[in-house]
Amino acid sequence: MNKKKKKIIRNSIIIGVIVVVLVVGIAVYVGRSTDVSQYSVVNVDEMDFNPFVLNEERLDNSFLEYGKVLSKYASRGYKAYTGDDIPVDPESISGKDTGTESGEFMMLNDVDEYKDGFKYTDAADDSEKVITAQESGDAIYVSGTTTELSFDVTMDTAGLYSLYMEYLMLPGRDADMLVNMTVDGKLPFLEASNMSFKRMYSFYDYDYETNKDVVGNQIRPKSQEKYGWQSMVMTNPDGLYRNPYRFYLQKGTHHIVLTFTREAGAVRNIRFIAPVVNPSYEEYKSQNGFSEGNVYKGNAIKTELEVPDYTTSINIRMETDNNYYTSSDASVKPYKATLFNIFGGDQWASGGDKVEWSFNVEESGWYELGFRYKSQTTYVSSFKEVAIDGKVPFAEMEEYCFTYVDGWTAMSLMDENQNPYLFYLESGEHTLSLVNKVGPLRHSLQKIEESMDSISELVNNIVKITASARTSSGGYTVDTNRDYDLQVYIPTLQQDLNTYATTFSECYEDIIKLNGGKVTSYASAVKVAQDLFEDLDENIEDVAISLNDINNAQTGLSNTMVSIRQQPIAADYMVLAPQDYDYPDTQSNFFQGLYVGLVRFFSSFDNNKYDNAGAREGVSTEGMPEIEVYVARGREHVDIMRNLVSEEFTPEYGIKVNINMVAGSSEGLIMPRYVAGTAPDLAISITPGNVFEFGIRGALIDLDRFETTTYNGAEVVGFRDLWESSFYDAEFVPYLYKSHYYGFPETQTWSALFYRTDIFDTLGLEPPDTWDDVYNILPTLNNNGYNFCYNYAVAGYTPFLYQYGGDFYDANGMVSGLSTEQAYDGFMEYADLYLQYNFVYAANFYMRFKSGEMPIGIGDLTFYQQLNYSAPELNGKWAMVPVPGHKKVVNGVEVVDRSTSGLGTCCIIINKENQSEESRHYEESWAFLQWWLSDSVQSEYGREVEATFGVASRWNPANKNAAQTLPYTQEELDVINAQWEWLKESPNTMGGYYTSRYLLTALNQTVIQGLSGRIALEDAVKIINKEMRRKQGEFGVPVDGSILYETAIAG
Amino acid sequence: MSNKEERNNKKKNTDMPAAPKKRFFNVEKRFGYTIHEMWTHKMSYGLMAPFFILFITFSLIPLLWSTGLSFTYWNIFESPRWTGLNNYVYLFVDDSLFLKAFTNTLTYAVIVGPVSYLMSYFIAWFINQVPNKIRPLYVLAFYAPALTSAIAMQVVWSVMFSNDSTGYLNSLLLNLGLIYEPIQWLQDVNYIMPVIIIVALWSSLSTQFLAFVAGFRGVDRELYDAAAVDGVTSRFQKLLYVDVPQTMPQLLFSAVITITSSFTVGQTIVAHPSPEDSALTIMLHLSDYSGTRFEVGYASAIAVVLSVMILGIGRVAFKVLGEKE
Repeated sequence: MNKKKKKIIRNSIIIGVIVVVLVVGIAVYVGRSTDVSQYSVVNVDEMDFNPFVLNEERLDNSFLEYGKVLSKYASRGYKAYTGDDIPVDPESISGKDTGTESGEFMMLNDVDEYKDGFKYTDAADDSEKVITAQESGDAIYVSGTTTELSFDVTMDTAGLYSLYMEYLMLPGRDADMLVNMTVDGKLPFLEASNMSFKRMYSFYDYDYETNKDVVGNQIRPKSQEKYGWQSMVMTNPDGLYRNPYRFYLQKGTHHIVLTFTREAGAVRNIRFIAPVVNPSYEEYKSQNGFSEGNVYKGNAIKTELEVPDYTTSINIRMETDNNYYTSSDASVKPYKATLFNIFGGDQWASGGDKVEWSFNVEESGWYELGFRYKSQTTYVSSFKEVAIDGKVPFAEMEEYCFTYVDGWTAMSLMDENQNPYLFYLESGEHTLSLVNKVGPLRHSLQKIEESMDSISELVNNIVKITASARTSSGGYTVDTNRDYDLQVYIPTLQQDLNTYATTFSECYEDIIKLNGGKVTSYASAVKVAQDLFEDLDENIEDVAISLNDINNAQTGLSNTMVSIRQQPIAADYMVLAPQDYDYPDTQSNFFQGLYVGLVRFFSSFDNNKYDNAGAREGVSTEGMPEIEVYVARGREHVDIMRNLVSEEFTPEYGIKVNINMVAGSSEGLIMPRYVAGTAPDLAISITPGNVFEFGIRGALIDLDRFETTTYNGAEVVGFRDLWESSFYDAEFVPYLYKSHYYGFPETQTWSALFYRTDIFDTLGLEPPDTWDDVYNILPTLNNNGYNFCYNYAVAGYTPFLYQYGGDFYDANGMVSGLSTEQAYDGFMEYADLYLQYNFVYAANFYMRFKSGEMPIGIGDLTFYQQLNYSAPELNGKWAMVPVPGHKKVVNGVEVVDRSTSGLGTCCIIINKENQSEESRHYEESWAFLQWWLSDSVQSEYGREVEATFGVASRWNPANKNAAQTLPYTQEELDVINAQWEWLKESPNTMGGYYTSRYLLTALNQTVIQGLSGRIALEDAVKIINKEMRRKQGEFGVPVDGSILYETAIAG
Repeated sequence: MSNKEERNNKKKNTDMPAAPKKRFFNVEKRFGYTIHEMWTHKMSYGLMAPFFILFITFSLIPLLWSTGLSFTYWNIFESPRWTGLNNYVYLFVDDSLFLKAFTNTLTYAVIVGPVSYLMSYFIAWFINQVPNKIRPLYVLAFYAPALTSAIAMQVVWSVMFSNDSTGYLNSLLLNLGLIYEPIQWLQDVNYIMPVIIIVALWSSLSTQFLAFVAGFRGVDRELYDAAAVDGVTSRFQKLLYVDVPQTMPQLLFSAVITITSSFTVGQTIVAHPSPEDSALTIMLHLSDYSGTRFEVGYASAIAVVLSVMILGIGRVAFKVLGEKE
């Protein structure tokens, strides 16, 4: 009896707890903020014409941002032009083009390639399409290098004009064409140097039923460039301003020069037009004859947004979402298998990008227009231009704010009083386009940027007084016991500090207000800056000792500036709704969330899409030989690879591929599996050092055994042929062992000398070509408080060693090469960078480059990505050239030796002699490798990676032909190619791991402890040689032997 | 009836049937007897089983295996090759780095072992004086460093000992005017070992500390009363005459833990390879040979030597602190 009672009590407690948990869960979910409201957005374009930095230069329009110029015009009462279009006569255009044979500009129809029109293949249905020569009449060809068109235009009245052009993009590297415009030899405003024409990308193969793999996952729909003539009113490419640019042109004749660079295409029909002025909502209603009777009364019409007609950025694509309510035209639920059921996401963020959909209306009338969307970043609203049929219907749609709501939400576009807008739509086909805008936050952006410039100047002035030194990591050292009386030397100090504090407090309030009263994470840096300057304003004597704090605040602010421009959003569907439409549920509740989670969890057991990666609907892999591939990359990378395998490799070669995605460095995992006799067939993205270690122990297959042949009727390119056609010789050196090669290079990095063009122009310096040039410009740099960035590491010594003609080992790989005179000279020159020239040991080059403290230094691909991705404000202010080298005479000609290493990852095939005969698939493995490393697959993979991640994760293939197709500019590619001509790598040797170890010791002894470089280096050589000899003994290599043999390449 | 007598009785009973072959009789009988005994005490064996299975699989077998491997040359990829005592000869005669690693490890163990041991004991004792209600907070606060992951620790301490003037310690010393330029804490060979030891001490309040805290809680309250009657007045006397004898088992356990952990120290906050191998420990030397050089036979020899060292010092700890009965 008692036991029973206890049981009852226990059970009721358990049930009680469950009930409480559920109730709380429900309460939390129901109580989630679903407060959908619109707030007012100030309708302004101009910025205050009150430049922070009041110097003469900035008062010239060429150095002022468009917003300021516009406000200057407004204050002077300049009016917009209202008359007819003023076309530019094509006959009057003259110009030159560095990309044509004659150097003169050409008409598109005169270019041999496009004589019969521009032909291209539409990948969606494999059809040949053509843009005929007649269609492109009068079009001027733009070669993609530098095309300069100049013409005169005569204005009858003074006023503000917009510039209209039509353009056609030709195949290129997936980048925008840049346009620069000068009027009478001057930029009308700063951004006129950086306008652009964007490409269009459309999608195909998005039908779920025909494009899924065997386990039911949708295969990512493919994108391709959509070619065609487009018209454009020149505007800010980053969506910074509300309306297209307006140029002030006085009465009379003006000489206009348009310069096109970066990508190839054609332009025509250049004309100056009256700026478009959109009506207000009320005007729009009356213009289109609004009456209650016309308002649509039927059912809501839902249109899925997954597949747009086109987007202007290859990065914005359909994505997958697991929310219970996320809808799609496909029959399967997204949480059971991968399904691309939403559009946009984290990548749909940057200003200026446009997306267009088409939809059908059956009944003319006034509709509400609604979207189901989700803000991707917490507390960040998203601004977009909404256009129907290519036209903004009314002014409120120029910068409509998609307010931040937690999770998915569906609502109609509405004004700040929560009254939905009504749109008049005739029956028939329409298009809807959304263009990302920065929105009114541009004011804050502008203020922060100017404050930062001004603060940098102030800090420089303070440092002149305090004579602060910089420490090795860039902090300022200040004598804290001294009172500097800064106000005496900088009379405006108090006022400046006050201005900064007020500015930041205004910016902070604006940011909060424009994100719907929510404290966005990027606002905190502004708050920190505000607090700092308020504090300094009150305690002005602390300024001198707060330089490091100011520095930190600036770092935070510059990150904020990047974040403000990023307003990511995802969209599910749009709705054409009757008035006062009541939206269905769009946010899943607790149980639905739980259900989705459970289904996903259980379906994850039998939904492994990487086993049998080649199989898909309609392609059976029954009976095919199977290979297992180890890939140590992230999931998205592997997904792209898997798609390529299923589209191209498996159908063509008839080989079943099992992709095994492993974390981090996969070589550690290969070892135990090799010993256990279950090793994979091949592995990619392996670090080169391990290849040698595996190779000498017989765990790998020498790849040079493979000759060009056919497999299953498909061509298999042999080792030597692939190497000679697409790879640099130097990259094979690390895989050489006894005349055999055990690895094949897959990726390859590059380094270049990056410098700030603006600072170099001011200082009147040229970028250095040799290290002697570097030493020559150092005094000028140092005098102005600048420094050269070259971080202290063993890798830093490598170029010096190579450029002096040294190498880490002798030609046979038997002894260290560091005992040579060349090695010593290079070593001492490198050590002198720190001992004599006082280089900083370790600096964050990116931050210092941005702030301008280190306007020059050697960077690599990562640095390039950072600059492009996170420092848009530096666009056009930096350039790269090949790394400095040492002059030497080769065959009687003086050249600059720029030898550097560019070692990346590689691929290997594993020896399966310890396994059964049937499990060995060397031929198949090589077929896979040569396919994977081929020009076309590497380019396509690179393109897809770029499309998924953007420039931040650019692919770096070792395949030199594939590298040419990446979206670098031609100038950048020239630099990279020039640098790659000087690629040099060291072989791997037995015991070679000691080289970097004891080289570091020698460097430390020389640079940090100040010992004699020669003794330190000789000690290191002794230890390295001893270890190498020990290892050679282990493998039975005689003292006078060799482990490399193919000295032609090693030497 | 004591256990012994019971066992004897049982032995007598099972001895009853005589067997023809006397030579094998005992073996068979003994085996049968063991099985019988085990069956009788099946509950105890069942309770011991999880630990023993894990211990045998993951500690004992690898140890024996590795002892075997230490007499071979094995590079993982090829089959092991018998080389006799070659590995040991090289280890003791020719491997100059091993001596360096040995010295470093010994320096580390000699300082970190006893100091952290005493520190744990005294801090546990201090905490024991704290009122019951807030004691868990103190325990948590002192135990937290042991819970932090190695990476988090490395990040925190790297900032502290950062090589430039913004490093906390450098900055402090600069501000106090004690030094004029930043010290390269993690690069300068003279400072590396002290830095490692300081960090190790900070994070050393781990298992043994908890054992001590528990040990103090387990002391019978009545003993304090008895001690008071016997004239013990100060807390220190209580510690000496009541707590120390009562926490002897915890002391022993902790001593063993401390010794093992300080001898098996591997990656420290100074990255490997360190300048002039000044942070090279036996463990790192071992993993260098097994991971980088693929000489598992030699690495096993190092492991065997290390195990012998730990065992030997463990014996000493037992001798000194073990129950003398």
